[in-house]
Amino acid sequence: MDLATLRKLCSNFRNDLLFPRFPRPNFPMRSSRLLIGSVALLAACTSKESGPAVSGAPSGGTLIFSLAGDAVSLFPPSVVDATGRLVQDQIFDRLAEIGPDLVTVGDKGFSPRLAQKWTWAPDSMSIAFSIDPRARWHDGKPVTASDVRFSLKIVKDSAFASPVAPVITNLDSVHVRDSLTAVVWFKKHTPEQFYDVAYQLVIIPEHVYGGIPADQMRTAPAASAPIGSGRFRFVRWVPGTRLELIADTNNYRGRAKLDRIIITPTAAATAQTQLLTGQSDLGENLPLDRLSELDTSSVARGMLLPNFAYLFMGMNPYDAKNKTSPHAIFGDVRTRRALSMAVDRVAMLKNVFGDKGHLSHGPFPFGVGFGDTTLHLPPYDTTTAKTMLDSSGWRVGAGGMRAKNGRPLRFSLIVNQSQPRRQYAVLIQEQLRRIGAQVDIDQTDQNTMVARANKHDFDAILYAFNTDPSPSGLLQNWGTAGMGADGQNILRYSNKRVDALLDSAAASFDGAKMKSYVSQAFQAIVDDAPAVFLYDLTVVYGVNRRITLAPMRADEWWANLADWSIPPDKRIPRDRIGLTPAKP
Amino acid sequence: MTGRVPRSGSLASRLLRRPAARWSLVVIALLVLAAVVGPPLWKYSPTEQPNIVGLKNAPPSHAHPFGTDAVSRDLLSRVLSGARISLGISALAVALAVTVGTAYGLVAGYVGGRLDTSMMRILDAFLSIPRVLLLIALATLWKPMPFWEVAILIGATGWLGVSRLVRAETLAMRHATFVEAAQALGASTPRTLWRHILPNIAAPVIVFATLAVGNVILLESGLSYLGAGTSPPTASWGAIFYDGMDSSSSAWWVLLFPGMAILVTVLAFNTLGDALRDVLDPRGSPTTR
Amino acid sequence: MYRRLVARLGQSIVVAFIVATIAFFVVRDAPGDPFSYEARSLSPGVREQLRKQFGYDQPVLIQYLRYLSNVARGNFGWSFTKGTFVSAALAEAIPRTLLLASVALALSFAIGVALGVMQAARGGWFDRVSSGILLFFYSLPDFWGALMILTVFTSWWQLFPAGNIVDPTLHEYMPPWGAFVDRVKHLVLPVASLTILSLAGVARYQRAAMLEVLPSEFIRAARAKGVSERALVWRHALRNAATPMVTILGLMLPAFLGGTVFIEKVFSWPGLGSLATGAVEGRDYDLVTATIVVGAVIVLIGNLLADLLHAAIDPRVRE
Repeated sequence: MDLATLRKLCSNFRNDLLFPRFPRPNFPMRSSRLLIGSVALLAACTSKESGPAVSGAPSGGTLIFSLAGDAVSLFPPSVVDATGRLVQDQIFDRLAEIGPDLVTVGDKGFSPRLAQKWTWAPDSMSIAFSIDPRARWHDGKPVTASDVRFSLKIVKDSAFASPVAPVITNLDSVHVRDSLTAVVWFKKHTPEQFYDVAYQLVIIPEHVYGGIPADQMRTAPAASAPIGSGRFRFVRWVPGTRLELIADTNNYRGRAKLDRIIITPTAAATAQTQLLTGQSDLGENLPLDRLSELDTSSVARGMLLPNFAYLFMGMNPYDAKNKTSPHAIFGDVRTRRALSMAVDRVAMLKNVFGDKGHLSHGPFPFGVGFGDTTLHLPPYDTTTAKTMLDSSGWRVGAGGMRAKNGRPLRFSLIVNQSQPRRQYAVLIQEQLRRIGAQVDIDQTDQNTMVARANKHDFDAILYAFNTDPSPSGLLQNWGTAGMGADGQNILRYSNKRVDALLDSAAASFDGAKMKSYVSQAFQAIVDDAPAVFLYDLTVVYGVNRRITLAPMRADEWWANLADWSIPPDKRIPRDRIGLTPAKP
Repeated sequence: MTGRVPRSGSLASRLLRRPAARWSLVVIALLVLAAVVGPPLWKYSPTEQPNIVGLKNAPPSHAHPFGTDAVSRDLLSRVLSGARISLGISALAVALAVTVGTAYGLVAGYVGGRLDTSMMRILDAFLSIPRVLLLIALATLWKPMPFWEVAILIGATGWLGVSRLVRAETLAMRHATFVEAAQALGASTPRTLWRHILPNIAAPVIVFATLAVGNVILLESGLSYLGAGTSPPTASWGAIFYDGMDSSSSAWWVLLFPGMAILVTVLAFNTLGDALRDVLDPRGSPTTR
Repeated sequence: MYRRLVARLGQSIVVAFIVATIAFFVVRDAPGDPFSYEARSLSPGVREQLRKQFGYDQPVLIQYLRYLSNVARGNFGWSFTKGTFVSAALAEAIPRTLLLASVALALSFAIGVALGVMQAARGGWFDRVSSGILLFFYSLPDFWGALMILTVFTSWWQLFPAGNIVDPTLHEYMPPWGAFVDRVKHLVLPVASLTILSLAGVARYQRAAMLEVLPSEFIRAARAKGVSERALVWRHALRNAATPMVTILGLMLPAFLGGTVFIEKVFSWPGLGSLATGAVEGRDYDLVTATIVVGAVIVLIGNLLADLLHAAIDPRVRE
């Protein structure tokens, strides 16, 4: 009998012994045999049990998550999408983890992860991180300082073109003092330099990925079967169908309290049905108008979680086909402002979300520390909008539609399958029709939308940006530096003043000054009207009631997944499967 | 002499003797009337969103007999205007299919021989492709499409069935006595086709066309359900159904009324088609979709 | 009969190639650049290999010829929405659609034929009422009917799982018998929907065919000879009406596969139809082309089998 089978036998046996599934008919006879056998077996089991002792209830449980989208990439240097981040954060570790109040200045509030402790140099130009000697990669090899050096090298490598590159510009290099000490050198002493290292840099193993050339790394097989150091390990990924994670039992921080997490991309309506019938344990992006069903269900409950993302209608200032000439409609800031004033953002929010929506106040989500709700956004004023369009040359013709120099005021709006966005598209279409603009709704799937956004192949698009807890993340979306090949600045917005303000914000140690710089940057962006800022992504989640949740962080609800647990008295059959992954 | 077999009573009277045919004709007449009259019948425009805050998903009421949808559009107006679009698409598609298909089938059946074989080979190729697969491929790749393009696409994939039918009938007719008589008398090929053969194959074609209208409506609404049909705000019944899918769990009316519209219309056309077949073409083989 | 079979086979292959041609040009002609979004899932080595095999940068005619030779060898290209070769994606999806379609086809034919025969034989109120019900189902939009079945049996009465082919997450952890039951449970509703919506058509045709045969002379002769009404209907008349039914079977196949597309969408059945709708949504041109060709090939094979059946039933055909 091999170890794995013995372990499975032990855990099944223990579960059955302690929590029998059904009453045994011939109880007395069986129980004596059971008792003798169990004593022997338990002795065998406890001696074979490895890893740090688990406090409290025995671990176990299989959770099924019905998420809105499948992961695009699981390889940390190239992860951009939400599901990818969720998976990455379970499989991999950072040097330190940000605290629940998301303070990005200094290192207070950060808790140790791969780094047991860290020492600042007196001039703050470097920090020496001491790697936890117990830390192991999932293939058993120890985590070393050269892994840290390698992780930074890849993210900075232009041949790899990581989307993280714009936010770690302050990290200069990593020096390996010894196998367990990595010294990170900075270019400047900034308030968020610790945050730049700890939040943005995910540590990947050099011995696995070191041999692959940078330009081939994204599509290498090892990138789709990641080996990390986190409390969950990767089992398998069937794209579009299922992604499976299993607890890392030997983990240096203790094994996850769950056995297994299975992630399946599911359409919103199906997700709700599966959640309510107990087929899945978590549903994401559930239809808002069915929230009441969740509240009254005995199986699951609804949660409205902020998602640190905001949705806007972006207007491409350049022509979609010929990327250098200005867009015939959106190339002019007056037209953009006029169109922004023609839509009633408050009414649309009420229509789509009822009372549960959050109106967007600018290029930032609700709940982030540096937001400013006092910005001057273009007001809802159709009269002024029409006047502005008239004076820009867009005259009303026959049929009520505007045209300028023979070109009609007509453009296409790309939207994905998400229900609130589709509804917004129809609302916007009608409101713009009333002022003489014709909108063609182009509905595509998520991947195509992202691909077209990255290639700037669109007129207008309903898109969402995620935000980091730090304003330095804004550079990815609104800074000139973010316009690179894999940059997230899909609107190709470039304003030197905004760049300067954001840099100043990142460099100021004074919290009030930082906020002031950021507010000025935001106002500059809003004045340029590159987009109509519609709403903050507040996503409805449904969670099965048997799960005991761990505290949820505002920026990533999945941060403490490894501490989610299922009380033994609430377990259902799939929770008892145990640790053996299914045969491929 | 055109070779028509005399029947008892006029077509209309024989048709109207059947109660099923009567009610289907009434329904169709009402629908066509609604489609033709158009805008004066609609209290609201089909795209108008009168009150997106207050009238979202309002249940049927006096002001809105069919209720409103998620963006406060009046469903009754939408369904009525949808008659125009759905029937319009069907009429266009069927007209196109019948015209092209009849021409193709006449030529193949009359000329026969090598031309016929090769024409039929190509036809077989097109016919093997499941129509829905081809349509969704074409409709999505060319998206967004105005509604008349959808009609042409559906018609362009539908003429194959007609031509097969027409060819079979033409083949049978080719050697009929009256045709040979006409040819002996010096009638040219086009004249033969037009005056002699065509009227006699008209009956099964008419039956086919009637059934096809219903079928096209189903096909178009199916395409819209898959997201491959007309683009918003064009509101065919299928598109109205598709728009209602998101609210359907709380607002039963957004699916019921367009669905019923489709059902009743297709039922009417199918009933009429059956009745026409019984009257015009009693010996005819059942036509396929 | 062999010669006939071989001839039909040859014709089918020709037709298949014509379909491949149609698919190729139809898809290439669509607006948009077919290969602009393939970057993510392709490693440079594979991309180069495909470029050589399909000649993406060559003139259209060369591409077409390369494409034909590739298709003949079973290489349909790369699907970037699925991240695998198209043939791999197809190999997964086709058996699932065949399972669904063949079970539904068999059931709808069995029930439809029986219904049609009973309608023709009995007539009267049974005929009228059942014809009405069948006409109702014939006129009902497929997707609405399937949606209602889904809602009733998965939401109102939670009897069956709400879609998919097996439990997407836990199927592999089930014991063999449980896994089998899981498969069956997931099969019931899609098959039921497809059957109900198709058997109306079958019953109508069978009824008409029977009505044609029943008054004919040989039936009257047999009746005069004293053959029981039951044997008359179910053996003699049915035999003769079977021939047009087999023809209808072949003709119905494309429409049947089309109907499967809607059912697969409603029930999230990951077969050929879902593959096709996903492919067009994601502008996955190679996959779209392939689904059209494969759909046609399935129909051609079905027609061939129907032909064989026809020959088996009707001795007149066999010479």
